[in-house]
Amino acid sequence: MDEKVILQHLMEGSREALAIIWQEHSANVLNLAFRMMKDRDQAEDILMDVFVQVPKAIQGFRGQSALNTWLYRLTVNACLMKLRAEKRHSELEEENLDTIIEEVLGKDESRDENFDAELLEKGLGQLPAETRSMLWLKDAEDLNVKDLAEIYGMPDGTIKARLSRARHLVRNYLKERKDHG
Amino acid sequence: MANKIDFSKLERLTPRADSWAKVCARLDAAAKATPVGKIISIKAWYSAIPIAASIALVSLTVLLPALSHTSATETISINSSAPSEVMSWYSSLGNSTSDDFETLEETVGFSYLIKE
Repeated sequence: MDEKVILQHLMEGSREALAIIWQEHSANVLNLAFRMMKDRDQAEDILMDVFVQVPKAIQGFRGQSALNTWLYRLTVNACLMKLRAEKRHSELEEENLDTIIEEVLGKDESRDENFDAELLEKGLGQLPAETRSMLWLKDAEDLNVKDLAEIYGMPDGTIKARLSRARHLVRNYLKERKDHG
Repeated sequence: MANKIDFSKLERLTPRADSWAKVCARLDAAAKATPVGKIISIKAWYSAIPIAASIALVSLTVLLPALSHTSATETISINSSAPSEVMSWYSSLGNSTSDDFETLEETVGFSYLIKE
């Protein structure tokens, strides 16, 4: 069914329309929440919170962005609120990212990286939740910079800079672990 | 993009089987907790108050100059509107030496009132 038709039904309060959106987007929302919260149970809670607020929040949706972008924005906001409430958001301050020396790894090196999943999870865990989710949406979910700018309410340039710094931080972490291991 | 980090090895989660049922249950509970009628009536009041105030303001703006215009132009002399019988009766009041009441003939009085 066309996304506009689904949205129309959803605005009229259709539970079936919500079920269709759940089928299409719930896994993406869950994985984004999991990357931010680093906890399966909390990610499931966020997923449910997001879909419970969709019927009401959709009334303010003007259709200027894609539905998945809008859902990601709701998810990021829900995660940030929860993290702030738990005071876990300061895992790694943004200032620490600024101190990273850029170009630690060469471009060729980045192509044949072969890190195991656990190490990569730990590397991602070095990033602040918001930046972690940004990197996930860009590199795993293939969102473009404009979508990210809309989700996070930041200029394109800021998004690009953060992504670049985040990739360097993760690669630097992985390389160090590999060298020591 | 060559610069991308390869996340394909990371586990992709799928929602638990009962998550959708929980979402539905929470939505049903929320719907019961806040009856739709209440929300609509509150919303209706919120919109009705400013609309009513606007209408009243516009009406006053239109009516007030019209009222003041009417009162200024409706000063009509009784000499020009009353019939001659009424005028003669009015001017002779108190001039008579008789103790009888001086009354205006009923038909003349009524026709004047009806006309007015």
